[in-house]
Amino acid sequence: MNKDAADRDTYVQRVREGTRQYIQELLTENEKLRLFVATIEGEKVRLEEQVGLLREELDSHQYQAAQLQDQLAHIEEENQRFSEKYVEVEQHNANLANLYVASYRLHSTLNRQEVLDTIQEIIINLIGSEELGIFELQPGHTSLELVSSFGIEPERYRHIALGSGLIGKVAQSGETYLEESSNGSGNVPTVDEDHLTSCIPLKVDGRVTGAIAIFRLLQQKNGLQEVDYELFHLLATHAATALYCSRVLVGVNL
Amino acid sequence: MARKRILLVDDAKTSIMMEQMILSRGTYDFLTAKDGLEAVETAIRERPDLILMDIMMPKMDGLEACRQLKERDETKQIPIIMVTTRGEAESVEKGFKSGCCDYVAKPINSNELLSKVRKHLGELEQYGKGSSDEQRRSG
Repeated sequence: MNKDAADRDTYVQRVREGTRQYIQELLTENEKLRLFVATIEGEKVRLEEQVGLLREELDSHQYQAAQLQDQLAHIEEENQRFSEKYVEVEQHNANLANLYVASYRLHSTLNRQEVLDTIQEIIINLIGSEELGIFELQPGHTSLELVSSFGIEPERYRHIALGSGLIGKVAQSGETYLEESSNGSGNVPTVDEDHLTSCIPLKVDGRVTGAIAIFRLLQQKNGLQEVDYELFHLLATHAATALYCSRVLVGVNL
Repeated sequence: MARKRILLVDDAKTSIMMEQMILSRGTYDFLTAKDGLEAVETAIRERPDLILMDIMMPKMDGLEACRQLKERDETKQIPIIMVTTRGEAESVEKGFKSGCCDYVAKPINSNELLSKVRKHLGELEQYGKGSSDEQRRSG
């Protein structure tokens, strides 16, 4: 009996000891896990802070990107505007060059034939028409006489009575005729004036001394442009003055 | 680098002056001739880098002058651009058949002329990216 009791006690002791060791190991393990959890939680907090910072950074970058996009769009818009302005300035320069060349050429000679040739050259090369007539008012101021022409039959236009047809009316009124703005003006072209694109009065001191008739434009020329109106304006006064001076010189030389 | 020389051929002084004004935006030296015959003689003597040739001229027209220059060994490599009032397809074709390398119709569009002159002088490639904007603007 005593031996059984002793064995039981020993067994109980062993179980207790085993249990105590097991519990001790569990506690140690638990402590380790608790430390591990604490480390992870610390790491989690740190990472969350980092995520927060990265989010802020991302927001900031997104804001900057949006700002850069706006700036880029603005610069592109400005670039486009400058580009258009450049083309405009280039066009303006080209127009000025046209006017300069026309004016320079008209006043570079006092030779009547050269003046007439220059007027033709301006109309052919700068305005773009190979059908033209240059008229001068005759003494007595009742008719125009064709003094130079290109691409038209001179006989059909040799003399035009003042006030007759579009050309005669231009010489009478001193107002430029433009085909594209003549609708409803009441002016009736004669048969010979069918293809008249423009007729410019030549004026010296506001007095009409003749007219330039421009008929069909060149095939590749799509209507009159701004610079053409400037050239008409220039021809009206400068061509008239050049012709007048050359005629006066002929008179003086005689 | 030597300045490129361009021979301007036209019987109209107004046209020559206009071409000079447009091309003065580049750095070129100019030679002039008032008809096809003079153009051929000048081209043989001076060997310009490029020729701008009118078609309708006295003594010898631009097409004949172009043909003669393309037949000669010493001038056949000179690029010739026709500058003329004759813009219709038939005339353009005649121009190319005579040996010209390009065509500009009158009244001259300054950007078009400058761009074609630069192209045939090989300046657009030389300027590289820098000139691409100008090309685009010129169309």
